[in-house]
Amino acid sequence: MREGYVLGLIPETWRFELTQFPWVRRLFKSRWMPLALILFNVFLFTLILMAGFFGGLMLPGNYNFGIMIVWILWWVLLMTVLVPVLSRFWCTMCPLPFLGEWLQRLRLFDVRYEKGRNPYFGLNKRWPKSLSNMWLMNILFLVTTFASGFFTVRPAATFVLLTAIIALAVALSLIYRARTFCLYVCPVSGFQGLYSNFALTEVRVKDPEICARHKQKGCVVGNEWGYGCPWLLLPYAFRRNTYCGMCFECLKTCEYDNMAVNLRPPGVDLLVDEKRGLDEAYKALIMLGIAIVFFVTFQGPWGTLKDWANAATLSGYLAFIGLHTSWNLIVLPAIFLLFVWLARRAAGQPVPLKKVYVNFSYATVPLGLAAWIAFSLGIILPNGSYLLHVLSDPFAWGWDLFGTAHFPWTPVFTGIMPYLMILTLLIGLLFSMDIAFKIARQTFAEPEAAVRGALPILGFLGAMTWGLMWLFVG
Amino acid sequence: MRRSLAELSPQEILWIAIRIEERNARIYENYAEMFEWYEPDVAQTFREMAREEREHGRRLSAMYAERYGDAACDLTEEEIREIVEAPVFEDGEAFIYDRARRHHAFEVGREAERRARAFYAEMAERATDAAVRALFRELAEIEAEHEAIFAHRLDEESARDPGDRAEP
Repeated sequence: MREGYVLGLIPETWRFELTQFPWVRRLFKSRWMPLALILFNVFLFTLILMAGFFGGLMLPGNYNFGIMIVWILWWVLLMTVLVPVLSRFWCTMCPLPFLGEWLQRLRLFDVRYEKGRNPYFGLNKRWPKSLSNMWLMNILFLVTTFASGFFTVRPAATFVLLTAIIALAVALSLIYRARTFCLYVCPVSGFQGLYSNFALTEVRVKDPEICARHKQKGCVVGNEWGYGCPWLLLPYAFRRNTYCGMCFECLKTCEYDNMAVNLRPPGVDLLVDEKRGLDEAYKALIMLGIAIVFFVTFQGPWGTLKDWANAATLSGYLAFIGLHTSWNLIVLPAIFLLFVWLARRAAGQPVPLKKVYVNFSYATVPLGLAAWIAFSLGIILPNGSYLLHVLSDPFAWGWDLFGTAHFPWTPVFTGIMPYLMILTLLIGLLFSMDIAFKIARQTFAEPEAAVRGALPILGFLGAMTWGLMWLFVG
Repeated sequence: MRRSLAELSPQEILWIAIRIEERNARIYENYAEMFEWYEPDVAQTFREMAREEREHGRRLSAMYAERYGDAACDLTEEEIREIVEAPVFEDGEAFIYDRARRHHAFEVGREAERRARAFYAEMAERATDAAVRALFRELAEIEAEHEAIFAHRLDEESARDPGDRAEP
């Protein structure tokens, strides 16, 4: 494969600036963006919470508006479109931190700028250093999946989860600075951050020389046009999507219009050889591991496992939690460690094992994302038709708003679904292999050593792909 | 149309060198503002560095006054093609991982001075006019002194607090 090209085809440096078009730039610089999207989602999530509250424990999940919109429509859109294409665009319009941010700013639309700074309401404390990483999000996401069997069948479970998240986001925003909840706590944020490194979209500085001369960096400290980066990035300097919540404040604050929204080739941020850490490595493996557990449990032929996850019995539920946790935190990372050890040995280079482990973990991201897209296909294609029902009768009160309340369950493309899943997975594998080779070049100094070192990792990726394919067609 | 520093007269070069020190002082003050809420220690360091830059600017101004009196040049730093000595705090995720410390501030300063010294030295090599060459050499020596000051502070600080997000 050609150096510096994604899959040997597209230059890694290729960019297409969407904000070169004046109307696009105007859109991103407007304070209605993203406020209008957030307000729409606040309305939608109010309906979801109401549906969850009124649905309680009684309704079957497939007839509940909250469950269908969150776990069928939102989750599938998130995994198939939002993250792989638009990076963290969900964070752009997420309504969950809305109340907290409103309280911090004490402004909904305009910018609070007094005495040369953006004052914030609240204690504005710093998040503890020991938690300034992805570990808490890793654990919280894993813990949230313990209840995955309830979320899709019990409306109250979705209600409790979303209410707890909103309450926590508000509480943290009053204690800690900026988007602390989104950065370090939100269970959805962690994997979005890591997977958005694969995304086709980015917000980046256009000309670093302009920033180098610029004396007053409004993108960090804020000004009368916008707030300093709520995600605590230095917008003039960051190099990967992980923590960019795409709030577009930097486009508003930049006096030189030197921030851009770009299209780019997939996966390029996974090659940024800095800021890599064990927390993100674990995030990559946990996401791959959970995708496998979900396939086995919810889309596999083993009804017992599904009963365990749905807590049909307490002992079964505890067994599910035990197996799920062990697989994700111990077994899969240990299997990966074995392959990494083989890679290091095959390369014969004196590179610390931890560095090799962390570096190669980023190669699993495209495959993990593909596994989640495939899993999402397994959700939306058989169950998507329920959406038409709940749109017409969101609270199960016998409404028929759009004349679709009695639309029958109609699975679509389920005959070719396994092949679509396999195709998705193979595309993910292709990108993962490409990234693995490039990371091998970064990790091991000599080209021959890099090739030797990449082979065991390709073996790991191949084995995971084969296992998932077996699950799809088996 | 921006001009290269190499195309300027000695008087203009010295004039721009003063503007560069002033610009850097402003940039350090902005960094201090950035870090104020986050790490007052780092903010304080950047403030000290801003004072240092202003002092450098004063020394160059004195040199300028001695040679050219009150005569001003109609030239700003923005009109120069090259970016000389611009301090850049390059860790875009420093706040997120809570890893910015005083020694990072000194690194930013030392790196800016090092680049400035290297730049002036290269200009001196290339200059064909003897007066211009002499001035560039003089500026390179001054920047080398500044670099040494930051390097010394960095050594002291690194010994005291090496804290950082451990590399894998």
